[in-house]
Amino acid sequence: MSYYIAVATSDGEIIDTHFGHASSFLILEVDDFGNYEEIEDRQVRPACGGGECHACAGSLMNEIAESLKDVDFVLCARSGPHAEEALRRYGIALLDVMMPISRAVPKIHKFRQRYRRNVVI
Amino acid sequence: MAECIEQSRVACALGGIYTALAIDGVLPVTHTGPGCLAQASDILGRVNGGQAPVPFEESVVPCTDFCNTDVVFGGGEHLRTVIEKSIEYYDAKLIIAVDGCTAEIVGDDIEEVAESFEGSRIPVISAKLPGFVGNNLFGHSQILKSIVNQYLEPTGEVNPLQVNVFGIVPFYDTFWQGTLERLEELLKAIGLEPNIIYGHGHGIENVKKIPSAGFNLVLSPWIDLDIAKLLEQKFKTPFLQFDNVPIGPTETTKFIRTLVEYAGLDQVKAESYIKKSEDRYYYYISRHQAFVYACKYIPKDFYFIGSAAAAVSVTRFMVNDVGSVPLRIYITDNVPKERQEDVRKSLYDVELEDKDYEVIFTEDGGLAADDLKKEHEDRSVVFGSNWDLLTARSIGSAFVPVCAPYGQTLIGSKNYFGYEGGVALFSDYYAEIATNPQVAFIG
Repeated sequence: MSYYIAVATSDGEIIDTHFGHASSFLILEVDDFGNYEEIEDRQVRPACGGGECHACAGSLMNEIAESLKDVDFVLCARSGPHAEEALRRYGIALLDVMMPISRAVPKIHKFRQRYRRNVVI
Repeated sequence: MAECIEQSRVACALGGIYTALAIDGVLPVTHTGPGCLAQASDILGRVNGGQAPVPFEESVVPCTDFCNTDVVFGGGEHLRTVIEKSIEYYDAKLIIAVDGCTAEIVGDDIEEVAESFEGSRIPVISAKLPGFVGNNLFGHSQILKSIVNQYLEPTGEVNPLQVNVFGIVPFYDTFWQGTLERLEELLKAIGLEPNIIYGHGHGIENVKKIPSAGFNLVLSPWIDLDIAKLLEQKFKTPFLQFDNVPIGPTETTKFIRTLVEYAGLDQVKAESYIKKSEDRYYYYISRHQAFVYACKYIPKDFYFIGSAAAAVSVTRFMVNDVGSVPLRIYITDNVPKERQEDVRKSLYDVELEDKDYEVIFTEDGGLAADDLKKEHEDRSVVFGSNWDLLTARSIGSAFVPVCAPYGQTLIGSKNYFGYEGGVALFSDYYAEIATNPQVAFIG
């Protein structure tokens, strides 16, 4: 069964964008063998757009989480607790890491294979 | 093992970092979850005489806060950064990188990270302390093993009078600090040069001296025997085991005579020290005879729930010097199976004809409490930890705390070591019996 990973990236190579600054997320589909392909560039309203934060981001966070609800993992360079909370409500794991996408996906796949049965992180 | 236990009297393996923190100049860096550091601080510190190695140690000790990202992607790099920054910001003489359950499960290699700091300003060693393998005594052993294997160098000389002291576990043995100070005085008085690594005024310089000892002294029924054997293997240092921290005149005199014989010390000097100390002990005891006589219906027996080391010390003193008899002894600190026979032998090695008391090894303190509630002598005394205060109250017994968690009080330099310790425990014991309304009838 394939699953999806959303990545906040500026160049499609490295995870380098803050969750709140992302205006789009690169959606990857990963198959049972860990092979992945880019299937979509999903547009969102940046959570920390235009310098405004928490007040507006409240319902905006939820909107972004709702639009990402088909993915299992979101990768970004940095994120805050509001983002994590909003995504967790949809069962999505938010991971902060600065790393090339090609290195990150195999690690996630290995983790998922080992702990798929009984982990919600 | 499908049971669950209550009233835990030990911390998880990570509690071993308190051994590291007790050595001046050693800084543990923990590769664990964010809350892990706080779990041992209660049983070993706050509720154990209000002790702490440094104030607010849970906030001072660096930790990688192992979370989701590290679980998925591995935390090795994160640990490397934290160690680098620790070397920059902390004024330590030795850094021990330790890991806990999570890092062991996901397979982070902290040895490799520690080894990559070869040649840095502060040496870095590593120790594995996964909580699912053992309790804080296992952690204590791991820390000492890492220090011996990764830090100690042969010094090229042996001082036949130098004796390293092992067997006392800092913080877990509540009276460790006061005991080590008094022990150091006693060993100096009979002509030895004690080398103690824990506590005030000692530290990493004494650790470096460990290989030059004439012999190692293991003051416990089973703890640190593995370290002594390791030191014998590595540095050819022989070791002498004396199976408890002596309390009172009988045991302390036996201790001094054992040392004199083993190390070939001045017998005349030692015997004069013994005579002086015993005279002084009996002088202090004799001043209280009238008061003790007036405590009608003095309890003749006691129960013990706690660590093996405290059990042997207290049982020897109570039987040999006070004249009380143990009814049941519960050992709650997970003595390994192969050492249980030795502990049992030590507990039955007392001056008593009918030794019909039971020795039960269980990590479940609740079991001991239930046992006592079901069947107990009226008006006895319970020796144990803070958990047993309520048990003692519910069975109408007096209570004297002697092991971890000691209770919410300030321990200061209080200790029950040697001749002076015998006077202190004697006083505390009779004070408790005289004032505890459940057992006392004075007049």
